[in-house]
Amino acid sequence: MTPPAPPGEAETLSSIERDDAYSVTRVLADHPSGLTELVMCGSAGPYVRKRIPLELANAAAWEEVSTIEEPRLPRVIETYRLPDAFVVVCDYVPGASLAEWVGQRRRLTPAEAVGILADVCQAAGELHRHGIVHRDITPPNVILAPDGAHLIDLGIARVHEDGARHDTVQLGTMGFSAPEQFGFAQTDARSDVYSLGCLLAFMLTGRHVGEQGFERGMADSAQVPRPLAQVIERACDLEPSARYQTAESLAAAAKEALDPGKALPVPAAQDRQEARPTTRQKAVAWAIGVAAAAWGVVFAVAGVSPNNPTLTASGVVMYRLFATVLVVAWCAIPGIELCQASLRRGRYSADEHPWAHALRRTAIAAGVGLLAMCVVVLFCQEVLGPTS
Amino acid sequence: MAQTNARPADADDEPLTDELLERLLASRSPEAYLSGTVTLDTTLTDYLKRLLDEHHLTRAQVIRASGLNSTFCYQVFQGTRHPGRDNAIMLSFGLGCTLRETQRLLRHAGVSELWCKKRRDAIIIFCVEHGMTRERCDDKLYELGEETLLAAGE
Repeated sequence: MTPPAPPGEAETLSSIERDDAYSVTRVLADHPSGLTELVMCGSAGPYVRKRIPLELANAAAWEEVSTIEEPRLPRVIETYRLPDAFVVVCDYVPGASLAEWVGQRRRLTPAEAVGILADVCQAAGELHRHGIVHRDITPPNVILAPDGAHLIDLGIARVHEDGARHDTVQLGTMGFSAPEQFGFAQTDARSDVYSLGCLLAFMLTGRHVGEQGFERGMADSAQVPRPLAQVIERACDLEPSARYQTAESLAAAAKEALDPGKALPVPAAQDRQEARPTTRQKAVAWAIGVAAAAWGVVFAVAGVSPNNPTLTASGVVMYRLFATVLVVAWCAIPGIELCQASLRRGRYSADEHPWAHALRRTAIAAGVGLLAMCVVVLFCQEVLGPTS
Repeated sequence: MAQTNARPADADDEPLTDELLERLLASRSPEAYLSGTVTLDTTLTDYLKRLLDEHHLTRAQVIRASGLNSTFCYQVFQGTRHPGRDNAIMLSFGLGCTLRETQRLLRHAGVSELWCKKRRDAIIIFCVEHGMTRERCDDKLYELGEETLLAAGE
């Protein structure tokens, strides 16, 4: 993500004019990541004006957000650039934040918690459909309005970039941010799923992850019914591919878990199989590997016959030794890859299936093996051949 | 001690600078004066904001009237950059300051005030006092062979 460039002369003047049209009612938050104020524009408003330092701002994400029409997400009124900040003005959602609400009530009932979670998942899901990851789904950023929960504060949201190894800007909230958000891999929708799981746990126990009493709260089945605890555990798995893959599936699982008729949520295995190669896929990959190996064996054997006058006996033995070693390696590589594919599970981006990854590796191994075979054959015929 | 034709106070509840000076000169030590007086530690940014409010102006209007670069002016208002003497004078034109306010602004900017004994300053003082725009002041400076506020080539 490249930060927006500072505006030119004319744009600065026009931005300053737009900025001055707002009068500040009060300051809502003042962090290094931005200044948030409640403003009026004449008699219109109130609005929320976020002043984000240029190097942290994601103009692309905000442009995308301004096209979204989701009642549970902030509606962007306007954005403009100042020499030192990217300014976003959006609707103000009146209401208590989830942090305040849970603070007052100690903790919420499972029914209330799942209801709020469903609303937030609806908002998060809409963001994900537009390729945006929120990255800061925390209790202060969930507002409880009369029509349900709203998700606000897209200050550190990002647009998902295919192929990026890790986020260029690392920010987050301890206890709610997925581990990959701290720089190990790129964040995607599943990082928000992690935060949503932590949110559910917070609502049920009244405590943050890592806070004293959180573990005790989670273990207490009066506070956190076992089915919901399982949902939370899965949503907060360290491994992204093991979590619910979308916000909607998390909300659905939570609703299912709440239903007193069912003892367990929908079995995780079905969803999990997206990440593991199926039997059929494994068989296909193995068939390709074995065929390549068989071809290799035939090539090795046919290349050397006792009647070949250019090679001596010792030359033949050496050649066969080389060939055997190569062929064994050639078979072993796809096999190892497939085993590792089911074990590794998570080292792939959200779009790639592990078996496709393994097949790619098999093809590379086969190509390298073929090249090596040719080299060995040439070597033997050149070096060992003439001696007799 | 009080003069019958005393100058009006700068603000409603601020003690007159003259009175404070008398008090300071009469004190036995700086500490004695400081312990009894609340000093004004207004920064330039605060003073500029006050002037904007008092004159009912927006920053954009001030930028246009002063002729300064908008990014530079924005940063001065934010407090991240400091204006030089000529730029501060241009800013005071943009804000429509009286002579008193101009001198005060220059003081806050940490530069020397306008001194009527200096030829160029005298011309500027005249223009400020007569409520001229920055452009008219520059015209006058140029006519009388002095360096203009807006440097040539900007």
